[in-house]
Amino acid sequence: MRFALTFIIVSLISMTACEKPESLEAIAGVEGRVIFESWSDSLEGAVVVVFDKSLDFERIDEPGYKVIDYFITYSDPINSGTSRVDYFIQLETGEYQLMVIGLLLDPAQLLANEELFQEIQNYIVIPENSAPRGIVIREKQINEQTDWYVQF
Amino acid sequence: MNIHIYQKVKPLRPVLCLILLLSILSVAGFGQSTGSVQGRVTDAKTGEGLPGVNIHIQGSSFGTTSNLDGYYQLSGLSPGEYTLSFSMMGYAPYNEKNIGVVLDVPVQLSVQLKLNVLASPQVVVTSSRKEQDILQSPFSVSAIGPREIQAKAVVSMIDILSYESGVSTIKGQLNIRGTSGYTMGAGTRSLLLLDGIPMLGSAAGNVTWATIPTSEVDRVEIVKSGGSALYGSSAMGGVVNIITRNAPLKPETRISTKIGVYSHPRIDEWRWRESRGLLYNTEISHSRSIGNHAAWIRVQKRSDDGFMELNWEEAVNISAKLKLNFGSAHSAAFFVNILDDKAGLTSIWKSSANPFEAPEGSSKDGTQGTKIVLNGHYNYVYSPDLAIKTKTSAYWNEWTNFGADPNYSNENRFYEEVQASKSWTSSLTSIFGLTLQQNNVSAQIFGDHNSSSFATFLLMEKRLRQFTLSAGSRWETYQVDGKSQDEVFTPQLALNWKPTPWLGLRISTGKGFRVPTVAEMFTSARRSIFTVEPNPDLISETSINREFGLTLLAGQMGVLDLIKLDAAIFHNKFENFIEPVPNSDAVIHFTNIADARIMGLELGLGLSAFNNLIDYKSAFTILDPMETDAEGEILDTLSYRHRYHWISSMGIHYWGMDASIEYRYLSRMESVELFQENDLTGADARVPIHIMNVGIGSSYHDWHFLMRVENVFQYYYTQLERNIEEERIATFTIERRF
Repeated sequence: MRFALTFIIVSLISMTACEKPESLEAIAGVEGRVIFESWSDSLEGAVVVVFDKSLDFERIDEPGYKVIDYFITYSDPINSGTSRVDYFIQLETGEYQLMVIGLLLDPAQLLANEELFQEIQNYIVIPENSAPRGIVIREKQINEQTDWYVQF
Repeated sequence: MNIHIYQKVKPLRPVLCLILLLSILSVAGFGQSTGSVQGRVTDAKTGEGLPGVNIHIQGSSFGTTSNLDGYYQLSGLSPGEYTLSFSMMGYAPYNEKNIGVVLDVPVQLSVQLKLNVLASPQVVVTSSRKEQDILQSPFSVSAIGPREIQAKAVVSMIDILSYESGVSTIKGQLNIRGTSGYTMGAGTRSLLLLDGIPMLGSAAGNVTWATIPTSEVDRVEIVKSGGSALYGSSAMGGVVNIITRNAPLKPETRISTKIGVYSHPRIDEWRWRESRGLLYNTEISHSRSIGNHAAWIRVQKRSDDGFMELNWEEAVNISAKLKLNFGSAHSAAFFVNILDDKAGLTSIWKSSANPFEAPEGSSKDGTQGTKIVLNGHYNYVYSPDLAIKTKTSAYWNEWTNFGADPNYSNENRFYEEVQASKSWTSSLTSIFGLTLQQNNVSAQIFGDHNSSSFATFLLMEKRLRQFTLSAGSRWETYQVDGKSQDEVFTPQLALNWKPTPWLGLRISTGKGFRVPTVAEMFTSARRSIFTVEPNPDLISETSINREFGLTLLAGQMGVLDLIKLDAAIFHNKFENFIEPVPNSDAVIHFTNIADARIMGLELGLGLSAFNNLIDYKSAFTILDPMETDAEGEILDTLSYRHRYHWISSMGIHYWGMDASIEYRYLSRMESVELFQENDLTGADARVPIHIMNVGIGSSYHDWHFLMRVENVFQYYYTQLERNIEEERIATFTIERRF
């Protein structure tokens, strides 16, 4: 009997102490829409990529300049031929550079093999009309007005 | 190979044989001199006659039920000594031993049944295909009674099962002790039975919960260890048997309306609609006896806005059951369910910043369809020693998807089972039979396919004083598109020891198997940003299940009215385990991964105290689900399993009021399959699950009121990647029975 009552009391305390532990909460990040004005036949897809703010885009084509060292994260890959798509990237508070890049490999492969980003330089095409854009992410805020018009 | 032998078997032949056998037995039965037992069953407290009490001869299927005033007559008994069992939901079962039956002189036997405060049934039928004391079950089995089902007034059985020990669900997919994980709706290792008849879909082997008339369910039994020896493929991880009620003898009409209001998300940024989502569920049912027969019919209309954008649903459901009683020897039952539904079709959320919204372009995605279930049972008790049961089922399911990804499927399934129960002596019984099943599917994503199976099974049970030894096996052969898929022999062995009337110990081992479904072998579809490709080379998975457990059930100890303790240690080893696995091109194939093992521990406590003032239930399950190589070396944690699972509930019943609180905890999933975690940002939506529900109900004359709040604290979590789970909902149910 003592055991049973102890069990009930412990259970009740545990039950009432569980309010919102580790529940999903509001997050910070960047969201917007990518509108593709044209696609190159050589491309399999595209992706919105976030780089560290210190990435020097002028040097991106230089041999030995490791883009991966500045890579932070990326959106869900976008299939070739898509005319427009909404994207969202969850980010921690900080300053970043953001841009859309074309992919020379199947976007699904990129999704399934994160290590491919180690060789990202071999698979990317920079859009003709797009340059990296600096963004600032504040705590629990969504940077909402980051739309892109892209020509490949 | 016996495939040629099987091909020559026509489904109708066993049925014709059975009819012939029954005819011979019927004729043989005439002219024999018999005795009978008759009397009245009354409530021990009030002295009123109890209608609908089940009375049967222990160790046999021979029995009857008491009439409207509690009177019964059991005739056709050969002279000899019998033990009569009296059972009725809500009352303690009673056995009367050493009843001497002689020719032509009826034995008079009247008994009084005492109210039993235990809500869950003590007699189960699923673990051995016959009525059995829960303490003598060879496997872990839990039972949910009508009181617990009605107390929650849920629309779907899944909401009941989620609060049972060791049971979890992911997107409607049942998981008993973590065996199924998440298989994208294709294939399950937990078999669902409705009145003992398999109810898994013919193409995907999934469950359509809406075809179960929840408010007409009498009880649910969950067998948590492998049941392949008795029930075949898909039962390797356990069996859930949902048993519908028979109509009471007194006419009864029930009208019930449930209204629910979803909360707005407590995080303002997640708010996605102007007004709150609503849920309506209205049911009208009528039941009555017609001579010796009884029937109920129920009509349900449901409309649910859902907690997220594509979670809406509309449905009309008509179900009915007719029970025909032709004396003590013959009875039959027919069940029909027709479901017409339309629902949103969700895949993933728009983003973790907008978890309640659908991705752009998919907000009009939906599905509509019609599902028809026809089940028939016929029981013939030839003598107290021999009974024959037949089960026949037909299931049609057609659905069409609309929106961005139009799709269709037409499926049907036919099932036939013949089972004989024979008592050789008072301590030796056997159950044997055969099943036939035919599945046909024509679907855009599967193509046109058919599959069939044929099985025979045998279970022998021997009682030696306090011990019950049971040994059984099933032999089953499967064909897919006319080609032999597999032929499996699944034996099982179990020993139960009941040293006292309140304690039962059990140890069991058995082989389980599951044949891949048509969906696992032939699906060709694009789901979200993933592609699923066929794998017709899939082979059956098998398992070796071992379990040791004990159940303690005792009453009247100080202020305790009843206490129930349950403990089990289990170890399930799987070979050729089938899981959906994305390859390096993100193409998903259902694949026979090497091997797997799931072992664990389950502890449960249930008690009732202070003259039924308080009842309490708690259960804790620990799982260790691992993918292994053929040598048993651990490779990885199996996906979509929770290592720790705890459920707890308490009810207080006072002055006609019922208050309840329920809590469910599942630890954070350690491994998922579809979307990689983002280590760089920590963007991982997996968290532990803490859900609390509260309810308060009251009855006044014919009226019953219930108010419930589910997910009181608006706890947000995902089980499947990029899919937020249930939002808080407050419901009010009003019901009148007259």
